[in-house]
Amino acid sequence: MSKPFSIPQRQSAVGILLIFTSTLYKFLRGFWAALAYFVFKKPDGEVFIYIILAVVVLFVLIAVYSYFDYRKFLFYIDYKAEEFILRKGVFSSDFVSIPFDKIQQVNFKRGILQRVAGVYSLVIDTAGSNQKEVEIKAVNTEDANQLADILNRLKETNNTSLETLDEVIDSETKTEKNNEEKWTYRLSLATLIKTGLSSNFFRGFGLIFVFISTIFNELNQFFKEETSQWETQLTEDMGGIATGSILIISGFIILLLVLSILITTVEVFIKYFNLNLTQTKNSLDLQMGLRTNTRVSLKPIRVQILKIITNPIQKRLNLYKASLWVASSEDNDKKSVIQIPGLEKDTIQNIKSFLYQSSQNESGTTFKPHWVELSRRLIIGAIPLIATGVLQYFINFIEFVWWVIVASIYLLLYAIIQFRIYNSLNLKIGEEFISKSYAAWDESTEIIEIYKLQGITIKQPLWYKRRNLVHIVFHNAAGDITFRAVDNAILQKVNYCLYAIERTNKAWM
Amino acid sequence: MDSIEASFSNKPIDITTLPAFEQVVLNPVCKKLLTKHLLQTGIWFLIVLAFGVFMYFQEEILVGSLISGFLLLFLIFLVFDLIKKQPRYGYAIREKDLIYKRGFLVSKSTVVSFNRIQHVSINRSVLDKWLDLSTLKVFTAGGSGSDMKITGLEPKVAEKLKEALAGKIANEDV
Repeated sequence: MSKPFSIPQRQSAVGILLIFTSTLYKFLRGFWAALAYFVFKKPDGEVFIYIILAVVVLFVLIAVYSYFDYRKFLFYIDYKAEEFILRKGVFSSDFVSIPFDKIQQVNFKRGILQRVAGVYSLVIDTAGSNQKEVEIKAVNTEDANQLADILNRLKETNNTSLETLDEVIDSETKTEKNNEEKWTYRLSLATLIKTGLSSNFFRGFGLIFVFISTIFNELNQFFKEETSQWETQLTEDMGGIATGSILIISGFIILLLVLSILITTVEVFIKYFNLNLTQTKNSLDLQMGLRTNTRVSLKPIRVQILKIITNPIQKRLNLYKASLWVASSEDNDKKSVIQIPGLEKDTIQNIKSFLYQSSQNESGTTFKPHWVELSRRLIIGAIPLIATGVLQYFINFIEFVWWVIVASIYLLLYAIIQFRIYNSLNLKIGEEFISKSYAAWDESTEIIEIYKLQGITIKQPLWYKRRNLVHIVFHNAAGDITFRAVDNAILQKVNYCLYAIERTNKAWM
Repeated sequence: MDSIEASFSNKPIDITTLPAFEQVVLNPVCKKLLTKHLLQTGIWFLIVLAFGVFMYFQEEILVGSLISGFLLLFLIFLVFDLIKKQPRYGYAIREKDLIYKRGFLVSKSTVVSFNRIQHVSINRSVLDKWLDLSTLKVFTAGGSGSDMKITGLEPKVAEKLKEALAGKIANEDV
């Protein structure tokens, strides 16, 4: 007798029904607007018949499609190649193969329909990328159990790197207390307020902006007639202000600034109140938030990128922020960055030495971007200037003097920031680490371990060929690190990185 | 983690003697890929043409011709780009990694080590079936950036590549 599931087989016949309903659901979701239109419009006689006819045809088509989809959907286990294989697709054909050791988890899922039909949906999770899971919609209970058993057994016999992962998850939930503490960092109230006040308050500014525009929108919705009056009044007032006193405008700006700082501080306060960072033997435990709404425990291996952020004021106050980027699948990237503000330099060193088991700042070769990068940045910044300039010339939308003032302030600020960014941009490639630093207002350093890279891409635009420049992108499970317009000589380092990735069999996650 | 430290050695290496990925000779893809791309763009040409005719009958000749003129220019540029980049597709398997190069205006080479590949799949669209082509997709945990989509392979070659990669992944992994 051959091994179970070694012959390609279909899912349970109820699958047709499940495919039918899910396809129908997709259609409905796509055309709900049209549907609602017809329901409300209440079409008369002839049209109504046509619509019914169309719906019937659609149903039949979907049914036929479901049948073929069911027929084409085949799965089996290839014991020799050590893979789970899935073939599907009516018009196109997909051939998915998952090596046993890439299977993270085999899950059962059950919706209402599946419950009624007495089947399970079997989901095979693989690590990482977008096509991360394979779903077999209808498997009867017996087969589901057997298949899950076999896959679980196969992945275990085949895989050691996965065990470490399981262990990671287990120990994260289980053993939190019985580990001894190495050090603890507590964010004091004073530091928290200092952090809030010295934070980049563009965010607060943005929040105000969103708030005001939302309220304005709401008002618009409710008092359509009145607002038109209001608006004319307002624009008249504004016009008066614009040409009139600068005092009110600057007062307004200062008010906005104060509000922004206030809101930013409050946000920081709520988010990071009572921040408590503890290193135990093999994890970093973090608690913070006004009602301890964040509670994380991290193993070094899960951290993919470490980003350290400060700004000139915070630097003076010895305040740094650490962002820990952990591996993410693309759909829930919000939770994958853990921000810890208000840290001292020593604490940052502690975190570093815990994550990387060595505290020294490693030496390495430093690369700087070519000056064409600076000119590219300046040209991009000049585009809005030229556009508004042209507009100004033709339709004269504000007074010329005002345009000159605003434009020159913008130009000055933009140029200063870009020069600062360009001067600070550098990429350091050492033996075990790559770090990229840059500074606009915030000064950031991104650190990544070479063996945690997933791949490297080199880009070269046609017009950089003569100058021997390339862009380089380091791909990592938590995001990409891009460095533009760097000399060709970096390719040697790329080869080193590849060598470093390929010689190790350390698990990257 | 402990075992790694036990077997750890750290001899100096001469970086100039490391194999250089940029000097590897790449395998070209099928010439029929150009046909596929041209067919795809052809559909857009038809749509633009239809739009132009529609605008003509709507008596919006100036606006219509301006818009469709721009679109046509853009499409012609696309076709030019397609023709130019056709010979630049190339892939190579080394002992420990996969290299894929493509692009004319901006040439991109991506290198992914076998021990970072999650899984491999073959995909055939309707056009692929007509032209007897296959697309090989290589997935990593690095997201869309490091995922590769090698288009325009002969089905046999794609199949072989997939087998080879699957074998390599299994061997390479711990």
